[in-house]
Amino acid sequence: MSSLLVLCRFVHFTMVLMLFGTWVLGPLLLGRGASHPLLHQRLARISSGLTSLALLSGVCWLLLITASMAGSWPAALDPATLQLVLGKTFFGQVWSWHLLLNFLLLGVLLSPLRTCLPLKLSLAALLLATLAPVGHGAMLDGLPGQLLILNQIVHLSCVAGWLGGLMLLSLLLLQPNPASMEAVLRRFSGVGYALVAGLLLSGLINVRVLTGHWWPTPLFSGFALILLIKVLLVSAMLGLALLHRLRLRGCDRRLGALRNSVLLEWLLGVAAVAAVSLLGTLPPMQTV
Amino acid sequence: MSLNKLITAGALLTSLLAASSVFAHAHLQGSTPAADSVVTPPQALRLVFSEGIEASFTQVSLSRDGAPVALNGLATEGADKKTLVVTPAAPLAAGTYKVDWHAVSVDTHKSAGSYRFKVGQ
Repeated sequence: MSSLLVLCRFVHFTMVLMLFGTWVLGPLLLGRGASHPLLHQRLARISSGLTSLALLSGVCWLLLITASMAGSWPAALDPATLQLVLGKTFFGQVWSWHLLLNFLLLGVLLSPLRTCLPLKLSLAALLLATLAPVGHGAMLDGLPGQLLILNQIVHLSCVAGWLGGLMLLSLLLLQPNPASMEAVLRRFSGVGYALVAGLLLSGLINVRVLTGHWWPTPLFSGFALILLIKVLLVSAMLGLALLHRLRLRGCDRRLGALRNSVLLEWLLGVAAVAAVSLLGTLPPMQTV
Repeated sequence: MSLNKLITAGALLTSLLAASSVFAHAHLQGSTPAADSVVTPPQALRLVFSEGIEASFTQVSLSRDGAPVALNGLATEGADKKTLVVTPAAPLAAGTYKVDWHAVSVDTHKSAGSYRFKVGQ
């Protein structure tokens, strides 16, 4: 049950992060509509796929949580138990809105409204925001709890921008005849500094609040180990990002190598999301 | 953003960071009657957890010398989702009681435990 839940969390987080990230950085990296018409079409198809998968994994997440809370598999499909989860628990109340937003977004993407970026972007932002209170974000009461959730929204937004941007760059580079990348990379690099700074700072705040330390110990068990793996993955991403930045001048002469290393950086990011999906189900501190 | 707002935000953030270590899964922090205590018959049992719990999915069973004791129900106290109040169906007779709890915290995690207390004459 718990490994299925980890898988669901991973798929769902990845889908929502990519949706928000590609839409928020789309205008900056791709321009509006006129340039790259084929890529815009492709991205529209990808977005519909991501939204459908997000809805599917979101519903599975609800069913798995219901089964886990009730302590039995059949409870997942029992309407009365589902109603109890949706109506009476904090998770359920947040998740009702979350699934409704996801459903609305799918409706928008299947209707003529799909070209309206502000609408899609606001729905994706709300989808991302309703993801923040689920998990450890819910564990504090009152103002500290709300600040922790706000911190998580900042963290998720920065992660989404970074990973969504990398996905757009990968799509640009995977085109049959990629155009000049130097200007695009320069623009991404500009926001990249802010995104990375935001995610590192909010991530550090998260760890400090959840575990009571800047770095939890023992280092090689449970929560701390997965956190270590995640931090190593993000460090590798930062290394690649720095490399891309330093070799930016003249990058158009080695687009093949650039494509591979951008894809690698994106995959490392997705792996970090996988690690965090597991992290969210583990207790931050061992009981004493 | 004005300087004042910045300072307020900074102070709030600092207080958040200074908060003592917290556990993200609900643990029993205390109870009335306390674990291993000898008490006069209590009206209700109160279990205080380290974080908010979902009363709809939290289970508590009470047994006296191995035999189950009927309970009227359990509920959290108003806005305080950390305190669970368990009311027995009838006044508790003298004997040794065991409380078994299975909690689901507001962040959907599960935890469980048990403790004993004694009702004297």
